[in-house]
Amino acid sequence: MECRQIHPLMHEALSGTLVDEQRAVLDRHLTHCRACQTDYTVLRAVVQAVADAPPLQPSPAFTIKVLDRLPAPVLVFGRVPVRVLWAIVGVLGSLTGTVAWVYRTAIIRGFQGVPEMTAGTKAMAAPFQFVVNTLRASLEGLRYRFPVLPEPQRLEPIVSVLIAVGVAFVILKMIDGFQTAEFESAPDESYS
Amino acid sequence: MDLSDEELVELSQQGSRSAFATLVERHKTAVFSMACRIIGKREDAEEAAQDAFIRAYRALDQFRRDSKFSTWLYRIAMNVCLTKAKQTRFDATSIEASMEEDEESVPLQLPDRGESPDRLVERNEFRERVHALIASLSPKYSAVLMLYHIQDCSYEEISEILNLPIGTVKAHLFRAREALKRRALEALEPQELQ
Repeated sequence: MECRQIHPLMHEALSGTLVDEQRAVLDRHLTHCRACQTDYTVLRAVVQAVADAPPLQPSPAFTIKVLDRLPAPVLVFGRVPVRVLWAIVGVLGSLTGTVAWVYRTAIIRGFQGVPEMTAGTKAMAAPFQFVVNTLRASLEGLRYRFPVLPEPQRLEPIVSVLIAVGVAFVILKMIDGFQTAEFESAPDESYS
Repeated sequence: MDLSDEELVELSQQGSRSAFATLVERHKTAVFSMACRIIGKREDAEEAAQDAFIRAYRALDQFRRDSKFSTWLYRIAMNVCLTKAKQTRFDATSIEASMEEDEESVPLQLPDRGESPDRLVERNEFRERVHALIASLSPKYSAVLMLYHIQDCSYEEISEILNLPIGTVKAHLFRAREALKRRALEALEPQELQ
């Protein structure tokens, strides 16, 4: 067998996947081919050197650096995963927007001075009425400037949902702001 | 109590950074060693290894328990390292060209110098030279070589990590060893073989 054909057998031998027949062919060739014998020895030496390569250690601050670069806090208040909170906020935001839209007429009428409303209730509703009036005025202004926009009444549900989502976002940001770093200096040994 | 990787992953998925820190501590040496051997530069390797862990953290939800965590992590690390190696190794093109030459050339025939180089592997300078040369190979060859001989991964695991057919993995390993042997011998002084 030619030396070129023997080469793959050397690699099979190094991988430990050589069958007996092939082993016999390789051994027979190596006994009379000095060049392949030397080649095989060097190949083995190289593979052994690779296998002996010592593990390389990263800098001592490696783990800290990784943790410092991790994205946003995973837990809110130390126990609620952020994605769960986002889901809750999303559902609540949508519900709020939907309810505000469904009952918008009643809400607005309520703030327009229904006789049976007490003075205290009116006082509490005043800020909301102010917001609604401001919103309507803004929408009218927008429509005046951009006549292609639909009537304010048609924009109200969209605005309601946007407000609900905005409020949810602000609340979430506030919660994030109170989040404390769970891992500040070094990894604890509780899991190792 | 020692928790398994999978248990730590589960805790990390629930948001525990301490659990993830333990995973980093456990695998940082392997990931950094691979990065170093593929990329060559220590600073770049450290950055790539950090990137690998951060990507793994972001993708924890996608970890399926049909393979070992280490296999999954190495796959991410390899993707990061191979991309980084392409960016940072200015001589990558020449290395590839050199590899092609290696593949087409005839098997190396050493001159008969009368003595076997059996003791080569015992020589520290030879081993160190080989270790240094791993990073000079084409990144894909360095990767296969390390996964097989240093991380003791099977062909199947390497195939999964590098997303290559097993036949290609074997071919890469063959070429990597041959190229490394050739370069190691080229770097040796003639008297070192005697």
